[in-house]
Amino acid sequence: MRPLGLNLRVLLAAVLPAALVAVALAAIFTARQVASLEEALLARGRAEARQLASNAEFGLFSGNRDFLERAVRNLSQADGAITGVAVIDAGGAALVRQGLSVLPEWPPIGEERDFLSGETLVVVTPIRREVLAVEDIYSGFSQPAAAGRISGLVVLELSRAPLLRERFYLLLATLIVALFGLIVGGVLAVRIARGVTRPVLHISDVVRRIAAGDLQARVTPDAGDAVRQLEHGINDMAQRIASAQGNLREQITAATAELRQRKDEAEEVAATKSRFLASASHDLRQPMHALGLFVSRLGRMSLDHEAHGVVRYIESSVSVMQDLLDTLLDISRIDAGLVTPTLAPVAVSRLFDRLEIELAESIRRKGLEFRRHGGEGLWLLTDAALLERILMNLLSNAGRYTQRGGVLLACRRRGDAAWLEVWDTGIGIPLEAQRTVFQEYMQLGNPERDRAKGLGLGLSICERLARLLRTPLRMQSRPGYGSVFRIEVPLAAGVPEPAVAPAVAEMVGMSGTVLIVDDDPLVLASTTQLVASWGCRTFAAASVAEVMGECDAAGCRPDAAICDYRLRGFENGVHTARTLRLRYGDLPVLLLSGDLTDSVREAAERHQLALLGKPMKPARLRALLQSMLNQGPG
Amino acid sequence: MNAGFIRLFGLAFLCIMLYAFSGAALAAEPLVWVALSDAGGAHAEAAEAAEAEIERTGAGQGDALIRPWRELSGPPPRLIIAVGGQALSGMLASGPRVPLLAVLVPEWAFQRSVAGFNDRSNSAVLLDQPPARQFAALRLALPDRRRVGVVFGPESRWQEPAYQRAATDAGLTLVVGRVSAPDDLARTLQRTLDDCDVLLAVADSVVFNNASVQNILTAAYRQRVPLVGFSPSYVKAGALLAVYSSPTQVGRQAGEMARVFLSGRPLQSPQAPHDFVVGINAEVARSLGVPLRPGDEAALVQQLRAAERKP
Repeated sequence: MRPLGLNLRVLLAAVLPAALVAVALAAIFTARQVASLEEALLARGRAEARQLASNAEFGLFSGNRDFLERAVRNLSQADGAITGVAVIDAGGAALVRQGLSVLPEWPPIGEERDFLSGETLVVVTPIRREVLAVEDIYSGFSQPAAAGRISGLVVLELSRAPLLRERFYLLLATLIVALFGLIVGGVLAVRIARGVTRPVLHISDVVRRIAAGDLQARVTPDAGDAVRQLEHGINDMAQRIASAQGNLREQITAATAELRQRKDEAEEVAATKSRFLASASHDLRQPMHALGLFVSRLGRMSLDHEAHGVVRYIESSVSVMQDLLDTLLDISRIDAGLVTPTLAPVAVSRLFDRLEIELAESIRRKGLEFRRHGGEGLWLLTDAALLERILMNLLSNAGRYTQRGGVLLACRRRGDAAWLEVWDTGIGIPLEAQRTVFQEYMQLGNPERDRAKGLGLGLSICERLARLLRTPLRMQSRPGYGSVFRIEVPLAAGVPEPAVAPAVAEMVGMSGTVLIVDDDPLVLASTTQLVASWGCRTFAAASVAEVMGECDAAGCRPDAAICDYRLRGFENGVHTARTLRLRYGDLPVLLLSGDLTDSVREAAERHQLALLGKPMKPARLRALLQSMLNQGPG
Repeated sequence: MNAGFIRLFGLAFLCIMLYAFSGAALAAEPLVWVALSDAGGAHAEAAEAAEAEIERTGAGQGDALIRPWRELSGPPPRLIIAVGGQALSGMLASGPRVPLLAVLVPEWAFQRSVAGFNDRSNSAVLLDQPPARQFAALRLALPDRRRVGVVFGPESRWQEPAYQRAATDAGLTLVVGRVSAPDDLARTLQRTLDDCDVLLAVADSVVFNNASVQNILTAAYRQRVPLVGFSPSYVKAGALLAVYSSPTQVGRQAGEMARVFLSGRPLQSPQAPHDFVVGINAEVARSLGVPLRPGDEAALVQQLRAAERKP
């Protein structure tokens, strides 16, 4: 029920008791008045009947009808309420009868009675012989005087109509008076109450406005003592709140300015760091890339056994250095906030294909079994590169810490998400280490910190990337039995399989013409030698114009192109790719980049260019080039 | 309890018994029984007056024995004075056969009671005033009113000739109404009132009784006819005047008669009361315009006595 309004409540409090009292008083007063009217009518009727009985006695004695009629007439004229009169003699005959509707039976001696007949009050009174004590010794009788004999009856009818009318008027008057009293009381109550409720309602309104934020709202004082204090209190409060809020705002402004300054400084530092990292990545990667290519090339040369051994060590060292560099750069890039996930539908089977190409061979080479399970037809909504990176790290970790048994890459659908899991039968993680396993440089089973066993940064990166993707990375492990890492990725809704997954790279010789553009002569030379060693015809130059000139001069049409992203001047890999495609149609182009920033990724994606980070591993380059050559131009 | 005590107790008892019997033997037998119908009121008043009169000149104390009539027994007295109608009837029926003197009874009651008791001499001091005295009183009090109405009933009809004679003697005209049953009263009364200028009441229970007096008075008053009653009750009820004898007066008269009888002479015949009083209702007199005032009663009595003493 809605609570009653203040005015109405005050009005009820003032008027309700008065109304109850008025109604009760009216009821009592009217009932008493009506009762006394009834009594008065009855008493009058009895008195009149007795008077007539007394008067009629002599008329009845003398049989004088004229006398009786006169007496009856006098009585009727005296009282307008009389509607009928009769004088009846001892034999029951009516000597005088005037307008009588009821003629009662002869009553028992001595009985006076009255009764109601409809709207009429009937009074019956006996006419008694008046007794005078004259019977004594002189008359010869000595008996006491006998009771007066009844010589007749007087019947009197009185109309109750005037009484009822009077009762009605009485009731009406009482009601009018009560109503008038109530109205006057109500008006007074409302007027008096308004003196209290208006300021209270006004205060309530002002408080509501203050609560809504209008701190300039003030109460206009117009009430009595107690409420006036409240009004002043409200105004003081509003003023204090306003001043407190002003102070607060100033403090907040100052603090915000300081924070902004700090933030700007931090951002400046971060930007500097980022720029440094970008430069470092490029500058470090280029020679590392070239070194890798040269060593690879060296390994393919016909050297003696001892030299081959040295080359393998160099290869191993280069590989570790590349990994170390990649990982450090990645961590710093993630931490610098330079990596932001781009969510897009990703086919699980293609993702698994790529991971298998990348890692299955190295795992199997270690004498372990590699298996994949599930994921067919499932699409994930995620950043393909980041997810691939996480899984790659997990797989590589699994391979690294497993001596026998195998590694399982699995996908299981769970509602709207898929669980991507990497199982291994490795050494497992002790319970006490399970919480710290995601920290940087936390390595298990490698107290001697053998570089070949990794850097201890893999899980740390995984954890960071998973956080970026907002997908929890969980781990379960039993020491001595193995571990499972699980990442939960949301499913993309209904995306068709766009293309057939590339076939697993075949370790066969390649054929085709490949254009290579790189402004770094060292990298250009190493890449060209590597690609040529795989059986491809190569045209290499520092710019696109030169390489196209060489190719055209030889009368060849290229099947694929490899371009460095960052070239001399304003050139870059994307421009080069567009130039090449203008010339040779839809030529597959692979971009190599020392820094895989989001802008580079976007550009590569937009122009449908394959992208590979530097320093890249020769196997990876080979697999990609293979698929590009299979795809062919057009 | 020893023998000595018993002897002493027996002696004392004997002495008491001797004293009692000697006392009774010494007292003389009462000469007169005064038999009362009623132990108090007018009857006792009349009896005491009679006793006083007997003892005033007689043998002395103890001559008269006053008792309610039922309590009287023993050796028959020489005379019985019966006060009131009941004592009269009772003594006649069951009392000793000695001469009987009735007091405080109207003549009609006395005559009806003694009828059949002729074996003894009976007399009375009657309550009825002689018609002549009443008419004389009327002439004195209402000299202008000559037509005297009298309504006789069954109990008073025998008096009509006496009234007729007395009226004639007094120079008045008697207007007579005769009522034989109560239902006739109103009509007869009205006729009588129409014809007379003063109404004289006579004792008759059919005409004048407690229930009828009011209407008779009313009817008479409406005709401006004064009513003359025969007892103080009538004066009180609204009669103009009444001539009557008090119980003391008739008691004293009875005592005189008893004294005469005890002295050896025969019992005198029934007598009308010698002494009387007149009662006047001054209010009624004023209402009717009759020139009678309070205090006129004594003068009237004097005048009446004077007239009666004249030969």
